[in-house]
Amino acid sequence: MPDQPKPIRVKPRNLTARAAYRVPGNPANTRLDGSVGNCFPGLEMDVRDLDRRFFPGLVFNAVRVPLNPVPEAPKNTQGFHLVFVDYMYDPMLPDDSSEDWVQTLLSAYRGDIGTKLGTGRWFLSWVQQGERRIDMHDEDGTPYDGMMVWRFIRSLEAGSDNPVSLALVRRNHEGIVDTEPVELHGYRRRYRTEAGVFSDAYDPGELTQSLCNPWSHDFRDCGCHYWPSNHPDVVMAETDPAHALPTGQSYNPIKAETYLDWLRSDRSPAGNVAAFNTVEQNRPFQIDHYQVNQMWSDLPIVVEGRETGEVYEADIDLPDVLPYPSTAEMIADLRTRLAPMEMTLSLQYLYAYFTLADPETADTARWPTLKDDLIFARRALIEVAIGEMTHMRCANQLLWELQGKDYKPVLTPAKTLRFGPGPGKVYPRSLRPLTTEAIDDFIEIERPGGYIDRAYARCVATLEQRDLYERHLYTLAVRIDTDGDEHYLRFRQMKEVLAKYNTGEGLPAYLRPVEVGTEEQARHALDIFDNVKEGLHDAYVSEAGKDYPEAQDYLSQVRAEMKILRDEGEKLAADQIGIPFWPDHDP
Amino acid sequence: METIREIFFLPPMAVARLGPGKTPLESYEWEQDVDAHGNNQTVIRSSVTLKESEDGSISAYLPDPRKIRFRDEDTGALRPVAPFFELWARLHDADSGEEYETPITPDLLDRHGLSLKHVRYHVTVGNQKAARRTGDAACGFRVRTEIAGDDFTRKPLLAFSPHTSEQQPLVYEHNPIPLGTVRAIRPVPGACETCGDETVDLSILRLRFTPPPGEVYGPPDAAYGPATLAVPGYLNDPPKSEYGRIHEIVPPQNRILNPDTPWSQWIMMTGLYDDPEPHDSYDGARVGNDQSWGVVDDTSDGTIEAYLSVGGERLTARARIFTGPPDFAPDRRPFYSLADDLDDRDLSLIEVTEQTYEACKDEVIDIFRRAFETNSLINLDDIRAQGLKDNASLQAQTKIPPTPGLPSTDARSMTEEDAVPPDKIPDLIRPQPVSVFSNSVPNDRLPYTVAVKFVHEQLVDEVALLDFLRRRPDYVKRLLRPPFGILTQLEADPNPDQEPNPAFRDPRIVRDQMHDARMPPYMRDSNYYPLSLSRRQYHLVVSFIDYLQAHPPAPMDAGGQKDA
Repeated sequence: MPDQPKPIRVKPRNLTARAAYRVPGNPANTRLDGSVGNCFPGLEMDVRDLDRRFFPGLVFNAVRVPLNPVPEAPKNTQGFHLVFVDYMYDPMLPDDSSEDWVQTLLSAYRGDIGTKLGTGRWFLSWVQQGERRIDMHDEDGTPYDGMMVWRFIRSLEAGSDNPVSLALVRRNHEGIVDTEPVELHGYRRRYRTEAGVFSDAYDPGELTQSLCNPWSHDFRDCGCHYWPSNHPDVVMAETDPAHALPTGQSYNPIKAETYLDWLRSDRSPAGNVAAFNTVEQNRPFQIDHYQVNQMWSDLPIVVEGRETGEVYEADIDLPDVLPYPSTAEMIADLRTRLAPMEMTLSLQYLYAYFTLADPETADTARWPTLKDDLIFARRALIEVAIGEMTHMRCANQLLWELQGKDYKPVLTPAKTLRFGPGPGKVYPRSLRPLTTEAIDDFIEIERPGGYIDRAYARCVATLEQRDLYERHLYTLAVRIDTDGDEHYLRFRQMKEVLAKYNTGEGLPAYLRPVEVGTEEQARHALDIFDNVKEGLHDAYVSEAGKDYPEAQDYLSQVRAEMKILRDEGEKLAADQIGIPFWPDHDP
Repeated sequence: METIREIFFLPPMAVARLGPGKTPLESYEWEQDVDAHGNNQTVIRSSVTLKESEDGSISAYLPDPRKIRFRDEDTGALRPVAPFFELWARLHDADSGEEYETPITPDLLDRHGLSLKHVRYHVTVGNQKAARRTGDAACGFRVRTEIAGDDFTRKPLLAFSPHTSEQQPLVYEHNPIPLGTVRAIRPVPGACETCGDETVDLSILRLRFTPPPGEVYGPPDAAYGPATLAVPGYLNDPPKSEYGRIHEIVPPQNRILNPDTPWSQWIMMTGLYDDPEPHDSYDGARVGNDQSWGVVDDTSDGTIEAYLSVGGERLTARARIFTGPPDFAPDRRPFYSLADDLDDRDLSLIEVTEQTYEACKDEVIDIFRRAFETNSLINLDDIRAQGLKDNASLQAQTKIPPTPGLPSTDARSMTEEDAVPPDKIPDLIRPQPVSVFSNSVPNDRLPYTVAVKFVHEQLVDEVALLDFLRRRPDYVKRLLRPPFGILTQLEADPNPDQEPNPAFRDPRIVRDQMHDARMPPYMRDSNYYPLSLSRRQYHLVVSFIDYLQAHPPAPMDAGGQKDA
């Protein structure tokens, strides 16, 4: 049996509050905050159509310079063209208004000025607000393009303290102004009423009239990719939930890391290839005009960046992850294991990065794909290494947020790493080239559900307890955990791409012969590295102490040092020397 | 004693979305994913959904919160989005002197000696696209329907072209175009249903607008035609003989329009008409002589009105309805939405104060979250190339020198050689030569797209964002492209090649028309200039940063632990 509803009583709401009210039964994308506002021309409405009635009683069209004028066309057709005078039902001009300016305007429209404006082609000549008058033509008198004029009209302010004056001029067939201007005084229209609805001045169909006709014409392509939040440019392929990672990404690294063109016409596996970096290359493989008129409803819905089938299903997160028994235990784990481990990982990955050959020296005669694959591998590896450095910062930030005055930066790399399924196994840290074996270990380290992943999932489960922790903290742990999936995929992608260079004979072609150098050999690089560590230490201390300008000064220095370190690492690697990031490594 | 002072609809304006499916899309809301692997991203989760019954009443239910069906089960057809409008009243309580708002129900009407017979609805929607282009009102089509308050049958909205005896109607009365349906929902007095945490009052007076399937219509000869090969924005199309692939334009059953109207003769950019911009936005553009195929769609916009007669007076409620395309990425939101644009036009700037800090903080965080959501689906490599090519054309015409202190506008843009190098991105895309085109390789075809997502992803977290804004206030301010100024800020007569004002742009200054790596990079606004946040959003972000600088938190506050 239905319950008896309780009477609803709400304090009177303003325009914003009424617009924000969430009506039961309406999906979020029925609201205007789910619709794109930068319209050229737009999808749900063209906001520029509001400006055509910016001034009470007048209706304009913004007109551009014609590209292919026919001989019989009048000259100088561009600008804000007065379509007609429309004052009778304008809500700003009630017949019985006590406002002088309203009655003055009504008299003008009903009288000679209305008659005058009813014949010939009239255009906006200037507009004024406050002390500022803007002429709608350039130095030599050439009228501005309608889009330029629109920009000025869009810049007018509404309100009783912002009066607007304007002048209209008539242009004859030759585009020459042939009569005295008409000056009018009033106010800019307030486009929405206090009830949050567009002014009644706008007729049904008027606010969508300049959208594409049919709408699908624009949906097929437009000179500007300005609405990917509704019409994606690039997406990932649909994923089978049975073969997905906890983030929902495909288990298949190529699939998970390949951006597809959402508008591709071949939606079979044959068409699922990487989108290109220019419109000219993508276009021949996209749905055409006209074709889109029927095919638009076959385009896939995209959720979490991936194409989805008939039903979207939210990902299931790792099961059986329990919070730490106490804050102290979580802090201890972060200090003694997780933060040091992040430091070790970032250095291992950075070391491996330097062991990748220089793409410019690749033997492209023997290996035609090597240069491109090296560019890919280097980008992927540096992304992961930067990601780990970010994690190190996140782990430290968690500590300073939780420990306050007791916080001390953790910037000492762990001597061992624990990874693998369940409780994992302990392995010594190791600076080594990006061999197949190294990649395999990196994959295991980053594997979803593995030891490290579950450790951060525990942090999330702990910090999610709102009665104990500020809500923003858990996002730091979530960031690390989510990135882990991405790192896992990246290493598996690297493995697939680089596998072909493992011929079993000597060093794979994508590697250069690098061995861990001595401290003497790498003295300069190690000095820079010491500066980096010192700078990070000081930056974290400053930031923990909420001295943000000082923290940024240190971080800027670190950035500069890291850039030098990257160059120095390249130089050393070219001489077959790897940077001994930790001293206990046997050369 | 209470009196009804006003009636109004909630929502005041709503978007319906096309879909050929038989069942409307179930409701959902945006939420922040709090799972360990959720990346703190905005996700969609089902919410209370209302289902129409045969008799016009509704029931409420909560679908599986982790599943959303976008297509019908049997046909796979995309489901339409069909919004409800609730009718509310503002009442004055004579005893307390207070005013309050409440939904209108049969009980409320009864208390005022009224019934559903005192309610009447008018719904008017139209499609003026062809009329706008041709300047001929008979090329528009519209429909108006009146519904008695106690009539709960679904009303089809069958539109045709109004015309005078000398005009040719585009859409014939005997062959109208369906623009959807509208239905007054039968209120069930005294009934409500509880779904999860939410209780839905089923006695509220509601209207539901259901959009049409999303068909195109045309005259009999709009059958098959060659699609254009031209890329939008290019001035010189390929030779006319190089026609593209041939496709069906309008399905046979929809070739019902009058072929003898100006819309079938219309050609863009001749100087005879007030072409809307973009001008090549119709079927027929950029092929042959650009003549229109006379095609229209079944989208529309219009008004929903309710009238209530109270004591011999008429109270009126109005709402606006728009029928638009589906939202194909429902969990990704625009950072510059229609709501943002409208607020920018009609509301004053927001001042960040101690009292408004929390609300401002939430809005700033949300802007950055929405920026990530938008750029997570953008092909940045592509739009960078387009934006820089546009810059090159403008540069060739104007020959303005680079502006000191502003980012590069040529091929150095967003590379290590940029006059204002962006953060992290050059490290992530190396090696990137100074080129309009990104260094695209197999397995990494879109390096800028990957890099910008990586960078923005870090800023969706509140703690990371606030730290970033506190540490690098000047950098962030410099990174944001300023909006266009309001009229009173602009100079009367600026020199086109003068240096821009750092706080706002002027459309007459050439540098202000050029793309660069400032946020949002290479996207376009409503008149094809580089896009910025709205003036209101920009002012909010900058003011918020200033506030953070002026109000640093107390040092060494272990703020994260509530029991600390």
